[in-house]
Amino acid sequence: MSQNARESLSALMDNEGDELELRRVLKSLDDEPDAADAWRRYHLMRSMLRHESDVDTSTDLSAGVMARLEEEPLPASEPTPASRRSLPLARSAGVAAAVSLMVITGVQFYNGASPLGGEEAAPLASGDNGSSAGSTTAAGTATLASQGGASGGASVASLSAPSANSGAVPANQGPSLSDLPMFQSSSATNSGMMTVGAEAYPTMMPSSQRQSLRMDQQQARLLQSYLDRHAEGTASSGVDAWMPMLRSTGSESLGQR
Amino acid sequence: MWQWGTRSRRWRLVGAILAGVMAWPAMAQQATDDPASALQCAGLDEREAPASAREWFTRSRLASHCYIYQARAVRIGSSGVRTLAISHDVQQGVEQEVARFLDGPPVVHERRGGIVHPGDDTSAATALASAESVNALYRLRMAGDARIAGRSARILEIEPLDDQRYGRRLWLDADTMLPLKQMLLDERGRAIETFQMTELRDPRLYRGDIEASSPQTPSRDAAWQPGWLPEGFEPRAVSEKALGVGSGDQQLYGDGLATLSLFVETVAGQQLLKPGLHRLGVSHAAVRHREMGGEPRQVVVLGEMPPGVLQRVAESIEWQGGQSTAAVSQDSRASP
Repeated sequence: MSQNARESLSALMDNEGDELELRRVLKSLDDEPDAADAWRRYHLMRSMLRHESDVDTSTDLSAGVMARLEEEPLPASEPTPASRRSLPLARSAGVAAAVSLMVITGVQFYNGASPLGGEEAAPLASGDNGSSAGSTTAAGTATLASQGGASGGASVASLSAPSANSGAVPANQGPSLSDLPMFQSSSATNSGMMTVGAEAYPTMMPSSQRQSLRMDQQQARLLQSYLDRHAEGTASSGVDAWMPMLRSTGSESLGQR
Repeated sequence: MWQWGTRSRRWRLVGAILAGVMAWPAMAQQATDDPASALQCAGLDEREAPASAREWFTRSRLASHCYIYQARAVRIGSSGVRTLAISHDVQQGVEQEVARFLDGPPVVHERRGGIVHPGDDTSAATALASAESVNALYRLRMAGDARIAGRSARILEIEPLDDQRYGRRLWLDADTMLPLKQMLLDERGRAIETFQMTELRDPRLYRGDIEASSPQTPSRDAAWQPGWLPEGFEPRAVSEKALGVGSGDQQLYGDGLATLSLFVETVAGQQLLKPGLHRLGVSHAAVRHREMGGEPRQVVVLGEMPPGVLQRVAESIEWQGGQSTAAVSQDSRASP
């Protein structure tokens, strides 16, 4: 499935696609055998992100991905039986969060922080399995930002570049795990694949990931302060009367005065 | 220098319009001859119905200054729906606007003096002039009738002639010409933000004059200038209040509808935005970190504009004061 088709599918799933993107995705279904798989995976990931309970997580994830995950050694600290049972779901949620982030980034030209992003990440950070998803999202954002370069387009391009890990993944699996931002993070002490497993345990979550979530919120606040000054200037230029002022506080209470 | 070129073009344009086409030559003439004159609201409601789309546009601008009203409105954007109570008042020639959010945190916005800020570029004269410059950059046309907030409205389509700005769709009250609804349309024509009144209470025309001040050209001796701007963008004055908020240096440019803000600040001792493109609601911000004048600086270009345009402006900033001028201007000449 081409990068374009993948982005179009993501856009459609976020209710942001247009007719052109719908056609592109439908066409990819006809042309490429792995497109249907990618389609199913994306929807499964979204379902899990939304904590939809009636999703069968064990069978729908592609066999190759699961096999790769199972092959990975467990982290040094011995998990309790309870957490071991929840492991596959937690891993999947982590993957899903990262994929979802990539999707948002590609489509929305988003390369930093916004209150929207902060709010989206925050709910994920609550709950048992969700905590790993939330932290992974934050890690993904940090990775994206560091790789982002000058434009959103650049960050998308860097995501699709194959990393050292990709050699082990069969090429016919469509969007491979090596495409995901967290597997390109060289800052993690473990290998890329290990990072997922490690993060399934809340006790082991590095504080740096919580930090990057905080940093996003800080970026959003900073951006909002610039926007407030812009809105002040725009309003006094008298074009839209009161409307620009609403923009400065419209999304957040940060501009309160 | 671009700013002199475009400025003279703009005044030629305004001059031509004043000579012949302007609907109310007397008032516009006065505004031009004597920039400190007032915006005259009396008689606005006795004029004939506008004949053309651009007359509708100019009249609606005047109306939004001259009418006293209270309204309930909603704002629909990417972050959801917010409801508002709005009031616009004129007392002794001074406008006063209050916008209060009715849901979420109890945020209140107050503006006194409104458009005609003392010492501000945005006097009545420029408000009218910019309404005319819009004609050169956008295609205006009336697109039928609608009903908004229980009142009959006329739809005004404002379509950009290039891909460097967003379009708008306005619903203007057939009786008062006040804008009842406004949509912001992105470069693909999709609505990305909507303001809409749900109730317009008791609109009354203020029958006096609204204070206007002489248009003050923003200082052109700033240490930095954008090397490129979308066509038709002119410098606007940044109000002193806005300048007081931050330590940074802000410049404001507008084409009569869209506005973009430029900030160039030293990076020392303050929080920084990540370089690249940021999005906050309908606004985008292009951020660059660059060494200018022998010091690392943060460039932020912000506006409700296509992101590519903001990035191009951010890349074009030229440093004019300071030691390393030559190197910097050479650098920016290399990029388109």
